[in-house]
Amino acid sequence: MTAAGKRSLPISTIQVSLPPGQKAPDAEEVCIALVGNPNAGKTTLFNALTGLRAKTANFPGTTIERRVGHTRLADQRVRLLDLPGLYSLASITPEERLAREVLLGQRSHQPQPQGVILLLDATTLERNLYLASQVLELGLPTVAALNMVDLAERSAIEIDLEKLEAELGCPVVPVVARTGRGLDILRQHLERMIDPAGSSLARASTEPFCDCSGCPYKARYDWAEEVGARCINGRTTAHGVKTDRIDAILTHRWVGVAAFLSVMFAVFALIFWVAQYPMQWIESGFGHMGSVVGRWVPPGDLRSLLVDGVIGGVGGVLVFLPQICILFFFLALLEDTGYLARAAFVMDRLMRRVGLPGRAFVPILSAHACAVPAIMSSRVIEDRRDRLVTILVLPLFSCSARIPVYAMITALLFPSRPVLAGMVFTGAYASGIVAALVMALVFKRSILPGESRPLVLELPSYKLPNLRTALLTSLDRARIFIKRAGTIILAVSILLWLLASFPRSEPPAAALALQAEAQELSAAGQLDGAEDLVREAKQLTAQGRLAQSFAGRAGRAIEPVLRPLGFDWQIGIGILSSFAAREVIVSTLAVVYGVGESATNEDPSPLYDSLRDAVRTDGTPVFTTATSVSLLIFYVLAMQCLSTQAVTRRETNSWKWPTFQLVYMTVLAYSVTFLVYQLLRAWSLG
Amino acid sequence: MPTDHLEVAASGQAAGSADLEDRVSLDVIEIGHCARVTEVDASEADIEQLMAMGVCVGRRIMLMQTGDPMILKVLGTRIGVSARLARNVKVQPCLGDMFGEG
Repeated sequence: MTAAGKRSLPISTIQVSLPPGQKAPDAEEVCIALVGNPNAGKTTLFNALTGLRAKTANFPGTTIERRVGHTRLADQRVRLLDLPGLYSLASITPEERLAREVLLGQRSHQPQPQGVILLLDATTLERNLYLASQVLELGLPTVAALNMVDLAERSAIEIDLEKLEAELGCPVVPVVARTGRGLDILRQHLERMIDPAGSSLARASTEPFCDCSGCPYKARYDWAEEVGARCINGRTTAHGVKTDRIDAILTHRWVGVAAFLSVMFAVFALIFWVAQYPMQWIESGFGHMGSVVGRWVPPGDLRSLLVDGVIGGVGGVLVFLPQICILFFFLALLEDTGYLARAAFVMDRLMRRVGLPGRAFVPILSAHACAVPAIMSSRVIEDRRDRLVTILVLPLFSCSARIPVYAMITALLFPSRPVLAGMVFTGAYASGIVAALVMALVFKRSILPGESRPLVLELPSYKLPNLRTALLTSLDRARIFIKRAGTIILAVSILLWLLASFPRSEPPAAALALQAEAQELSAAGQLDGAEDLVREAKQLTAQGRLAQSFAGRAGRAIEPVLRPLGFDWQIGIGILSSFAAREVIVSTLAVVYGVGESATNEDPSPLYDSLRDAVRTDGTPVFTTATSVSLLIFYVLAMQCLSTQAVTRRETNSWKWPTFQLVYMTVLAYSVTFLVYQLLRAWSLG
Repeated sequence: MPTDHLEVAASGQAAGSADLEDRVSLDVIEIGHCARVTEVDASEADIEQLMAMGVCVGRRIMLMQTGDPMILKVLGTRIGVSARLARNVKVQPCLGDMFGEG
């Protein structure tokens, strides 16, 4: 008998009884796994059951995200494990293999769950039954949660719950995860499911399908259709006229692209506009923290380490946290509405030409805030080749750490000419995008050949987004960013502080002379003049120290290499110090050209003025048009971020790719900058 | 006229007896018309994903939008699919009634 010929499936409810009080062997905690199709509302249900306590991490040894939360059932702490969204358990994708292994208890460090919540979308029940048949076959205690019953009712889909329970052999609870409807009853069923003393433990089971002849999917879908026919009255699926109408616009070949660009422009404008306030608070918070520490710790190396190294360094990176939170908040909202899938659909057509999958646009958008979360979010791309190409080109998109650098160079090039300044900014962003697309194409033709994976993407019905889900997602991302980036950034900040502070050198003679002069003035009662001189002396001292430090020596050492790009050793120090965070070059240049750091915080214009006035020892200005432009291009293209490198290492699980990323971006930045600088010099702009 | 592909199908019977000449590749059927999948060439690695979402033998699908990628509707779900994959799916237009067995 072939599988296709099977008319109905015998479903048995096995009575399993455990001795009272017996617990699961290796864990005090009961674990329940949540399984369901993508877009069935799994995250919403998970959040509704666990709340804020959920933690996101990776399944050990994989880059697949594991969300674990806790909830109380019958006065018992229960672990809820959110498995990745799946269409099947057929072990085709890594996610499916992992989910199968977890449910069968075959993964180490991951005890087999004691029960399963099988999430079914009432509006597309037949398709959901496909996965259901595979999950039920595993024989774990199961409760089915039939989600979005409100939408089903509105679409005149009538599901006979009793019949469905009989067909599936497990309790079926109608819920609306979004509003919380039916969750109490779901909890009651879950309590019964995990109660070891319970008289009966419904163990759902279907007879295994014979997937051996012909199309292996056919048998299960035939079954799903039959069950659907027996349990559903009226329509079987939502018609979705509204969705069809919206899709006619949003997935249109050209209108869709225009709509995508407008949506993204709006999101970005909002990100930069909304984030500026919390960014100011964070900056002033860290500034305040620095001054408090400065008051309590005696002057010296420790104070300098704490204030300049730790607080300054970590604060300089955490300042991007608001942008990251807001970006992920909007992405979560867009995903929840169903638009994000359309954006991937529209972009696939264009991005496939350079060997990037449509899904890569989520990490690409994130990369405009910061490459670290962008590389983390490249996990939405399943294929290894596609993901590698995406990760390799992501740091070319202009992240927000480059904004202060662009702002500085724009001010050097076009002071008080906003239109031209805006064009410089746009040009910098566009160069990054073009460079990334070109490099993706180069990789496709060279080291990572092949087409990007063909698109197979569900376009879910449009619906109103859930604010709670979006908030929880962005909080979750913030936590990951602080944890992952925070540790390495702290280490890098301390390292760079050490390099910039040691070996200690004596204040230069000029500074000592100024100090002496200041003392004379203050003795004569001219306190204001004395203060100015002291400040000048301090600047000279800092300048001298940095020049004599390891960083200063390194800057001098690389000067011959940087000379053809129009950079001197001071800019060399700035470039080296940028590895902590790119915008550090602004404060570094402030020190090396002797402006004093305070100028950069309150009002940056004195810095820009003094940079413009900076001259080399031979009297020629440092920041000529050619040097400014080449510095801008260098910052667009160069890989100067240890945090990005660390996260690339983590996501690719090897040092090979971060090394390659550093090498190719440096070569690219160097050659393009070299060409541009030499051309501009030839046009006597140097 | 294929009235409504969304209605309940009571039969899992595939269109195995269909004339070979009626079978066309998925990427050439007309918009808004219902078709039943008769054959899936599983040689392409990524086709499994499409089959797991319901584009497998015996299912009724509807083309919502042409192009590359195109939009299909199967089991009430819209799916965006590369034309490259769609070429591996052979369908028989549903004639007369929604089951297409004519």
